[in-house]
Amino acid sequence: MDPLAILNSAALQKAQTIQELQECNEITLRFGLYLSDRQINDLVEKRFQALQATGRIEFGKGILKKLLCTFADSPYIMQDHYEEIIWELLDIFYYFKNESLDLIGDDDLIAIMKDHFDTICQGSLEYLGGTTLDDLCRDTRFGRLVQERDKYRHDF
Amino acid sequence: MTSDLTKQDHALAAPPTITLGSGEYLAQVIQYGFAQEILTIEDQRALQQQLWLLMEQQTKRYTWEESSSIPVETAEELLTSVQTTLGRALRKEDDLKAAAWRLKTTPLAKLLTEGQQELELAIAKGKRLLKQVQDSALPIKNLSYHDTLKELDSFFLRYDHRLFAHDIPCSLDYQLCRHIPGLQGIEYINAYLYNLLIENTFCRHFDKEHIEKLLTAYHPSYPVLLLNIFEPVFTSALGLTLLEKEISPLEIREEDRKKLEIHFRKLPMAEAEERLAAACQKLCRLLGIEDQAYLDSAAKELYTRIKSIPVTEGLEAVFLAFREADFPSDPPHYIDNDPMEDKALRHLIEKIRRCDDVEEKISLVKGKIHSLQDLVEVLGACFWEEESLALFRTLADTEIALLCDHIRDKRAFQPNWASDTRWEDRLLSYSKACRTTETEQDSF
Repeated sequence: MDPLAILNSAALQKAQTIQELQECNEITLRFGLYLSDRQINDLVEKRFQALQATGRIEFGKGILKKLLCTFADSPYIMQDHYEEIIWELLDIFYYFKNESLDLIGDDDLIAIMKDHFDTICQGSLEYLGGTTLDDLCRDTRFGRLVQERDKYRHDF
Repeated sequence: MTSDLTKQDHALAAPPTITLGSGEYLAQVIQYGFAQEILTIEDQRALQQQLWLLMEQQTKRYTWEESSSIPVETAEELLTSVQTTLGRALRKEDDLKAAAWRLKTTPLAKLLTEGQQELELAIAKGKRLLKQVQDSALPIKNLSYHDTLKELDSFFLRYDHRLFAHDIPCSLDYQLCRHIPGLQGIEYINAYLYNLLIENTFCRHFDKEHIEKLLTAYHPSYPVLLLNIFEPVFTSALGLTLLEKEISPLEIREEDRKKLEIHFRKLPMAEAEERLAAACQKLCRLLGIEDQAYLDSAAKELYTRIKSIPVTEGLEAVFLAFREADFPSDPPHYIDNDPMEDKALRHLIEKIRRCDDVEEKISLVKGKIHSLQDLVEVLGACFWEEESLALFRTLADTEIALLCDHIRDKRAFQPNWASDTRWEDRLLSYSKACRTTETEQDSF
């Protein structure tokens, strides 16, 4: 029996998240990005699937709003593939939270993802997941001090 | 060691009343609440919502607000801790009914705070119990006993009652006479400490030498075994009390054991148990112990154990007989001295080789060689034919034995090993000849 089943969380969280993403549209619209109600519903479902796939659980607000607002001004994201990219970023985010053994905070990880996506990765999610984040998480797991700003272009 | 504790020291804190873990108690309250229709479906929804918010708070605390998501396993641990803490708060109520009403009408956040305060009180009590246990620690050599005392100390440094109230972050190898089922966290530790204190207090009424003799009778290697010190001491004391004999020597002789066998095997169960209870009461009176329940429980367990032994077998394994150890508790180990530096050893070997006289060679060996390793090197380089026999005659029996072991160990890996001088073959012959001579002498 799943001990967390007593929390019966899905309905509670869903309503909260949908409202948040609708509010987020007001910020992202400035950059020409917008999610329809259907897309928001799909994204909320996707979030639960991504959490389940990576064996994680989120209480409170979650990172969707942060992710959307941070990536809104990326030169590599256009409206026609906005939803798919956010889906992928969500998968990548939760995957690398596990890979880094939760040693990297949400804000730091999202900031690195955004910075590298826009620069070294030139909008390629495969490059982002396959090299930069992989190296970062390996360094973190092996306890190597990640202090060289030049390497990850981020002050931890 | 016999009782230098004052009456005040004997005054233990009240025995623990908690026998069910607080997390399980919460589940019991909820079940009762729904069964008695004190809690409704609306209450269930409200509780789930509040629990969700509590988990959000706990996650923030755990991650220092740096992560919104955590692994499911960590979430399960945090939830178990919350349930334990809530259960702890509800224990203050008089009964399940009052607890169910409290759960219905009190915000969970408030209950959580109250539960944490109760845990803090329990931690303070635990620290006091630990001090009493440390002050009454038995000066008996047993690795698991003393390691466990150190671990109990470190528990209070590692225990986090806010996030992991159910956890027991220490390793308790020492097994008590009575098992403590169903408890978690500080509740388990306090019950463990209380029981350990009773056991310590009981054992301190007996001389260290008598306890050690008893434990040696159990097994000569008792210092390194996972055993409970109290159990054999209590068993002997109880047996002697039943026989109305002096308990302090802890010694049960063969004729005593036969009488005890009659007591345990022949008497009807009710009468045997009554006599055991009376004996426990007498022991408590003799030793000034206030809490008889632990001894009663140990006596019942002893009776069950004896009843399970076939009638054809005696009670030697239960009521132990003192004996001299048939073998040393620690097998002898040889620890070689550090060998000489290579340069110094080569120089010595050259010097020995230049000697004309075997006596001179032997003298150099006796004066300069202090390790088995160096002796083997020198034998292989400097002592030929009869010279080696002359050296062997000056060596002690243990030195000969060690050299023989060395040869056997070497040939176990390299069956064809042989030195330049073949001293090893001569040594084995010499050793065999010596043993034959001893046997012939003994037969006279």
